[in-house]
Amino acid sequence: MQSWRSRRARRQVSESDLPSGVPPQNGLTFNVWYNKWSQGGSGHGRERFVSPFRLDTRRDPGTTLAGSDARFCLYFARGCCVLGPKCTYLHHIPDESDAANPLFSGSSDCFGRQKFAELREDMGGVGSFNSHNATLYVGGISGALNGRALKPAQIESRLRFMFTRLGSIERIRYVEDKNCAFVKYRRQLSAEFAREVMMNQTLLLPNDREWDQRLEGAGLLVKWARDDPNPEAQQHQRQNDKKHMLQLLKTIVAGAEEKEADTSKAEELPEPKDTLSPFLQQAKKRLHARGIELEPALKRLRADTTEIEPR
Amino acid sequence: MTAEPQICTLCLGDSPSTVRMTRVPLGAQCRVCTLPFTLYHFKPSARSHTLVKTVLCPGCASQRDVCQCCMRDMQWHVSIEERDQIVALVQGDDTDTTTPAARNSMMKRFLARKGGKLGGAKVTGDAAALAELVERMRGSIARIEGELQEESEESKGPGDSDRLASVDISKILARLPLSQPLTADTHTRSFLLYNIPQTLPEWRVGDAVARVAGAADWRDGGTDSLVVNHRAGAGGVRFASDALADAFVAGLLRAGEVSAHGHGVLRVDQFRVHVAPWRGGFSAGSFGGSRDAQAKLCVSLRRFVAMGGAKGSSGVDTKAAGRVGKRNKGRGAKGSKGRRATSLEL
Repeated sequence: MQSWRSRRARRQVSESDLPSGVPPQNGLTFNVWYNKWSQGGSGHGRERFVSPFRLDTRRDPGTTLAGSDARFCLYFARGCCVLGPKCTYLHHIPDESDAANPLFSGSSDCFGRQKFAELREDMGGVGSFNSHNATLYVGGISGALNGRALKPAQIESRLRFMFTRLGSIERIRYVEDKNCAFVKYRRQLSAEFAREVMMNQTLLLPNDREWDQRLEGAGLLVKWARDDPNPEAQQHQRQNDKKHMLQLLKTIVAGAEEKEADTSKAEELPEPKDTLSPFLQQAKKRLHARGIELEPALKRLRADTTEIEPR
Repeated sequence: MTAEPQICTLCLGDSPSTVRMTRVPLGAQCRVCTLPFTLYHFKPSARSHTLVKTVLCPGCASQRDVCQCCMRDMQWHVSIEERDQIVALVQGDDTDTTTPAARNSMMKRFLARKGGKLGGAKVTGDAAALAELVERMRGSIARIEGELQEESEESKGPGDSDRLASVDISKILARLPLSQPLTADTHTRSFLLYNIPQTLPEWRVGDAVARVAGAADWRDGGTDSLVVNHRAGAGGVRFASDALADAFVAGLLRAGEVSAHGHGVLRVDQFRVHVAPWRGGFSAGSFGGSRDAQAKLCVSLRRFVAMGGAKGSSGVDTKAAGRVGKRNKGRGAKGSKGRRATSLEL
């Protein structure tokens, strides 16, 4: 497969193919402010739907006008970015180089949306900054198949087919009795991305008889999973956490040693060499990979510039 | 009155001294304590598209010793959860290192008003305690590694219980290519993987396959290229091309490790995953449809591995393996590829 770095992103849909911004009429007057119809029946209309767009993991990824601090494009993930190569957000599936980027592990998710202290009651939405969660709950499977009866192995196979393309999988478990699945990714970043890609998608394939009626189904329901209550799984989790912490501990110790070495060097040399911060070095490397060379920024000489000491 | 915001170097970007900030008095609600605070927002560099905002009030940030924008620890740039766990690991006890998170808004405000430091910040927020902790870190790495070694005994998986006795998995076993040895002239794209421990993540298996095959993009894009069923302790791998599959076999044989049944051994960390060529191909359902069937398959595969070369004793595996051998021989002679070879059960 050709790497996304070597080509420009594809325009996923043209503007004329986008659905109208006005929802189907279910009231008498249209409220421009809330983008809703009012005065009429129950007002909500159909809440569950099947998205007519889907991210094509083979053809869509590519380079865009995104800078070094850009996040992923939400419309790209949903398969309906009309800007394509002119988009200022990232158009690719999160990979190893993104996992190391500190941008994607802070208080906001990979699309730059702020996370919350608690998870939503229905476990949907952006997620919480208080807990690390890389596991997705996949429900609404019968709706996503338009009620078509498939064997459990076939459903699992379809889920695997769709979810493995969106990141490194740790494990996938399909629960036959409840007709739901749990997809655990290696990184939270992948889970955030996959949640947005697979939400409201159909599980039908183009060679199914029901493919043409797929928009009449109800779409997959992809939410955050709660902690696995299985004691054995919890034991594995604790062990994995410990391994991860050990890794972090090693990097911290290495960083501290480097710092010590730097300070001792700085004491020897009267003029400290102007080195780039690790973040900038990484940004520069990423830009270099995309073929953009970083020029030294011009000194800003505005008088009203607020001076802030870095901590 | 207006204190300087607590923002880490990663958020401030490459030239922290020339960042222009906008202050908005009582401009936002703190994400943790729900009280209003003085919001600052800025662009890390003149060319950046994103506006970075503070999301925590200064009080909550200093209680946790985190950056007001990204909520990462000011010292190590890791999340609060990770920081607390690191401190607990190094100190060797986790009684006082978890940051409490209040759930109702009254309690949130109460915690915020209380001041002081919370959880791991008691250590990392205090210069003397932090210096002591860093001193202890180097020594603790070896200790933690030792603990991990002790804990990492292979998990047992499902036991051989009475519940499983009535489950019939002869059909599943009959399709597994357990009697096929892995030799240099095995030309097939699909392989059976078994003896996969419960703890081993799928991506690790994928990485190990890529390493042995010597190519990062070995996956067959059209189908499920890697299936790992942790309940059954087995899985399947399918290569995009014959050349890649041959490279994989050559890599396994070069490693020189062969199981007692003549199968290849794929090293993943300290684990030994056995590899057998699978001419019939596989699907997600090849490892049993129900939970019980998968558990039983896991038990019998484990017994198969333990049995080693000592064949002929009682055991469903030998019989099943014999049957498979005959079937596959017939197929090979005919030269037909087998109907299940490529059709993924979708």
